[in-house]
Amino acid sequence: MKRKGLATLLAVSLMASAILGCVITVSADEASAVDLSDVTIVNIPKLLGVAWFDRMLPALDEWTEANGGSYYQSGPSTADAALQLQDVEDAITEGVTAIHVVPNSTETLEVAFQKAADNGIIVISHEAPGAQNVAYDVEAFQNKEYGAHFMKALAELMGEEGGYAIIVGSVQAQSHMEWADGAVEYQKENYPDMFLVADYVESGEDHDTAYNKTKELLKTYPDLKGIIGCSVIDPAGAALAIEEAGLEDTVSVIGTSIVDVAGNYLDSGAIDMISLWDTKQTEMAMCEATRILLEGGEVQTGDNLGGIGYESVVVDGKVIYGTAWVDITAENKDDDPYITE
Amino acid sequence: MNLKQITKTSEFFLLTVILAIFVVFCFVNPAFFSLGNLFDIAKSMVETGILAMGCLVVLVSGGLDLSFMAVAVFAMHSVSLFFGRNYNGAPLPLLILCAIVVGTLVGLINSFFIAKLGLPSFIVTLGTSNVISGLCLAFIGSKQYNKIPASMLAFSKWNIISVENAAGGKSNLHGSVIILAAVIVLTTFLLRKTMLGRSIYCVGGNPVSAARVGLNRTKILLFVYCFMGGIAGLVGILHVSFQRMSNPYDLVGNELNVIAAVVIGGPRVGGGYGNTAGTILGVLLITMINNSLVMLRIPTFWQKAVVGMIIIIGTAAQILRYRRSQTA
Repeated sequence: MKRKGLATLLAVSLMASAILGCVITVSADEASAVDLSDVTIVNIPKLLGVAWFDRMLPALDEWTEANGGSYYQSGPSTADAALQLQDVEDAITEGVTAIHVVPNSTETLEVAFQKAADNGIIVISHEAPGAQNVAYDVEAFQNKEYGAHFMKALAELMGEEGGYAIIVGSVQAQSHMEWADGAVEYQKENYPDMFLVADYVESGEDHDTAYNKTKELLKTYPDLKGIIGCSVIDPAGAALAIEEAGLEDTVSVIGTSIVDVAGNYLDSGAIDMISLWDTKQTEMAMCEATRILLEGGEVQTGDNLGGIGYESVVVDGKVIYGTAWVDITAENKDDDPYITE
Repeated sequence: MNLKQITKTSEFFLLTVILAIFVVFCFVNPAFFSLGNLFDIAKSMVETGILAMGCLVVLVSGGLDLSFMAVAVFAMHSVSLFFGRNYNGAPLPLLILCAIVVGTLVGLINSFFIAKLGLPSFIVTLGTSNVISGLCLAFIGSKQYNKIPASMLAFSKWNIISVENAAGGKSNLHGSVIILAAVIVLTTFLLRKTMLGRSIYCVGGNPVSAARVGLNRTKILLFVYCFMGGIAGLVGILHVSFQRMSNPYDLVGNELNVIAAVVIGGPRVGGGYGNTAGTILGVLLITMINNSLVMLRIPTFWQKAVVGMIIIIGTAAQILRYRRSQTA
């Protein structure tokens, strides 16, 4: 009996949503040149449940509100390339209109991207400028410049001398590697008294691993004076190790992070500066790029893709660059768009 | 047991392997032999070591539990969030007690399917692991939580020894090693000195004889999975304290690291065999390897391969030696 009731309820709600859908279709038709009401966008971040990627959802909310269509989010619970591939494959099977993806490993996903393209699905990536089989890759900035930006900040904190280390989420994460390479290159050109102590260290985007590896770095390289953390938890993990060792004043930590994760360490002085970009603005640009493609056009240098920092983008091949990084220190903590608590 | 007998045990052999690896590591990087590094290894052993005790008991009983990380996360996140929001001044013992209770209750679900309905533990716990993770993310919270109770933060800074090191920083021995020691002693006592403990060996080693001598398999397995659950709950609280935040995506996925440590320590899957000394040596071996790759200056691309190779060499040496001793 109970089960039958449930089935009825489901059926009714399905019908209701179908009718509602029709209503929206009509209004969307008037607003836009191309019918976007059937558009389904799936957003596949590196992993679920972190504020950084959850921030992409409001952009999808706003964009689908304004243009019609729908979206959903899926992704792995750990930053795992193989699990993420499964999510992309699932999206292709579902026959979505567009896949917005932040790859853990671009190489792992290329074949699936090609398959998506063959099925007429628009694939737009973020943090994967080397991706071959996507329609566009949207970047907040040129990675090399972001790395150089870190090195300038770190050199100032370190007095332009001493050893430094770089923590990346994964050596397969192309963007992290490009930031790291950009930072090292800038150091070699401008700060001869600074040196990279060791190979890039991998955190697996895991706080505990970043913490333990930093402890190892501190023990192995007593001349270590600065750390750049690339993934959002790296500076926090490094800072915890440094705080426990009582080295807040000796070792400078900077990197990509958000205040929800790194705020306590900005206050304590263990982290000196974090940089971030607003993934909501990036997602907005990804949505606009999708719209332009659906309308049969292509994105060109100088186009305005809606998001802040994307008012006048630079297009280089398949890569769309914005100019959208934000620096946060203990003083301007409230400027972080990701604060939830 | 005299000295000669001790040198013939598999635990002694494992200890020799560990010492040999340790000596090699020290030659590669003398800092490996520093007090600070030994303290760090001790702290890194706490979570894996405590979980391994629970795992050992499960393996001895002839089962396998794949859900303990999910249980730990569930207990950790629910207790941290509840007390963080409602009673931030909660004392640590209360938090630990609550987490153990939560963990035990979840363990009871495993017990029901495994002990009462007699389903295979591997399948049941694989299932409950997913269910518990899912429920935790859906109902407790899917975001990192920073405003954990103050007592947890205080605990994270509880060092029983703190010395200045060469780099001008401090090397700390964290107080949680006492909890690890307590759990080891408790588990050793349980397995060696209590009727219940001996019964677990019996049920795991030879279920038919166990039934003939009148052991209640259901009740014994009920205890085993609840014990594992309680242990997982305890580790959940320690993990939050160590990280100074509760992240529901932590831990899950690292089950095999713990199980590998226990298996290296001696037990054979199938049950009725194993002891705490071997297990803790297995944990030591795994922890030492996992926390040394940067110190050994191994290129990042090679690190995973090196971990795998050392584990294979370590276990192969022990198993080959065991086989030789059986045929001789």
